[in-house]
Amino acid sequence: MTPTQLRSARTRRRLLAALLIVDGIVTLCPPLYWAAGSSGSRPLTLGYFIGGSLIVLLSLLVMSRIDSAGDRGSETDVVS
Amino acid sequence: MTMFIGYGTIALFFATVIVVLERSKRQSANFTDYAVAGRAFGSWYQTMSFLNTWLPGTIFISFAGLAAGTGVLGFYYLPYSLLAVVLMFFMAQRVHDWGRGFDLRTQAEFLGMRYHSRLVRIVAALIGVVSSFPWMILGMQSLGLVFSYLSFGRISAVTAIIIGVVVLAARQVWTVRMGMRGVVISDMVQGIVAYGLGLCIILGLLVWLLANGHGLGQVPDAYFTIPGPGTVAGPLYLASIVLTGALGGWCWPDIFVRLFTARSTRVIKSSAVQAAPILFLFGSGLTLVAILASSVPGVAEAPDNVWFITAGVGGVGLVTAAGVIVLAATMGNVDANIQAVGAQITQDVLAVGDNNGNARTHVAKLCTTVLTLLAAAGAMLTAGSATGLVRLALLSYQGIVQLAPTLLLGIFWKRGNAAGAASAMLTGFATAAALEWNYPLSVPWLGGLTSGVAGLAANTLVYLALAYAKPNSGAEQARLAALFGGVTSMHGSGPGEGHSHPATAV
Repeated sequence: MTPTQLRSARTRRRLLAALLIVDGIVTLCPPLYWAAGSSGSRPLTLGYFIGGSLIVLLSLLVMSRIDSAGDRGSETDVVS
Repeated sequence: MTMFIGYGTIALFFATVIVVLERSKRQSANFTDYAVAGRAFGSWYQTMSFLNTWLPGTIFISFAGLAAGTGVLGFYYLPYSLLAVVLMFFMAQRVHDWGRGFDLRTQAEFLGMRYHSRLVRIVAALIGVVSSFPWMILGMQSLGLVFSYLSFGRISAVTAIIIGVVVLAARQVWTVRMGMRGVVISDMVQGIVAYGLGLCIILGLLVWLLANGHGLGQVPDAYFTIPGPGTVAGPLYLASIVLTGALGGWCWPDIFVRLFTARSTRVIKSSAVQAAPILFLFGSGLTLVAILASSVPGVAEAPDNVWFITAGVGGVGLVTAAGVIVLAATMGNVDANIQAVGAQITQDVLAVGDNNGNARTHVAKLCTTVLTLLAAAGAMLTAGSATGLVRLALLSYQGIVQLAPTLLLGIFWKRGNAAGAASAMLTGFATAAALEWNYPLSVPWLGGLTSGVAGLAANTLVYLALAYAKPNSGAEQARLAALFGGVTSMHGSGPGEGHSHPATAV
């Protein structure tokens, strides 16, 4: 994804929505935690909570970058 | 001597907070200044204020106790907290812009403006007040364990609760006098102690536990199970409690008002990015400590005491630091709750005075004082046994989340109307209350959904049905088009964006 593409408001909105959906699936989708819980694996059950939360955290950082790219695009537009 | 060290350190911390508050004190110019601190705060104040409201002292007691007593399920607040931060990121622009543009000061006022309805405003305000009050009482009682431990066995549990209630009630003198400005400024001091010092101690305890034979291998197998098909809680239980936490968080008046105290949308988004890693490190570290400490002698018999029992390995000094950390987290939560609910009663339920006169601020101070006294009295009266109160508080959590469809759909969807919003909130509240009373854990015939999520489903159906069955009038549609048109993108200017305001930036 190039900076120019990121400046498109529609692309940004779609990316942000996609990330939100990923977050929802990772944290709320029952089959994921059923699989982790029934595995009998300690690292997997711990990993479900810690890894899932880490994915949400990282997605937020990406969202912020995408959002900031839009801000920079707006500033460039105003200057030009 | 040990009790002197414990109580003396508490007194020293209390005094530090008061000195900071007194040095930053200034007269509120109007009710906006009193209720949302003039929308003047920068991102780090916002971050600490959000954390100090989001993570109450009981995170070290009940939440850590859940992990110490049951295992990995104790992590559930981590994904829901981070999801809530993501929601903050999405809600930031519209809520802040509407708040600034229409000079909104409470969640109920926000909903009243969005739906152009006094009924929606009053219903939302009453649900907020009724749901928050049991938590004020429990918040005041939660310091009992702190004062009990810091007396090093010299006072009884009930006396410790009474001391905690008196300390927190005394702390509210500054909440009453300084309003939201005092809450946010003190949150910075309290937040640094609760989550900064707290994280240092968590990391230290983690190293100690791993180095002293309390590794994952010592934790029972049962601690690594997650409720799924065939379990008592039910297959949908975990998804329900995570969803309730993430959506419900923004329904509490004291959390939502954080979006009004920032000086810009960008500040709110920055604070989301700052708060998330802190939440992740702090939450995962504390929960891991609690799970590992389940093999420490004494924890299995009293899992809620895991924070203090584990801190005991560092002697009087570490137990004292652990107590001050819980106090700092509790103070931030209780004063934010009392301040936000006081403001909501004053302007949304009683509808006293106007924003510019002093009458509304005076009544808000009176309401905050009365709330403090009522919560203190309730805490004293139930100090011996708070079982019924805990049940009421859990029920209130399933109730408050019923604001979520009206709040979130109202922010992102133009079609929702006042009749749908009011009917949906009342339907959801009644459904959740009835189910919670009969099924306090989860509803077996709904696959383990909690009462709150079952209520949310009924609530959302009513909201959507009335949105389509009873469309807004032409005038209302035009008003909403203008309202939503003011914020057309994540980066566009909204109503009021860029307006100067008299408050000085902090």
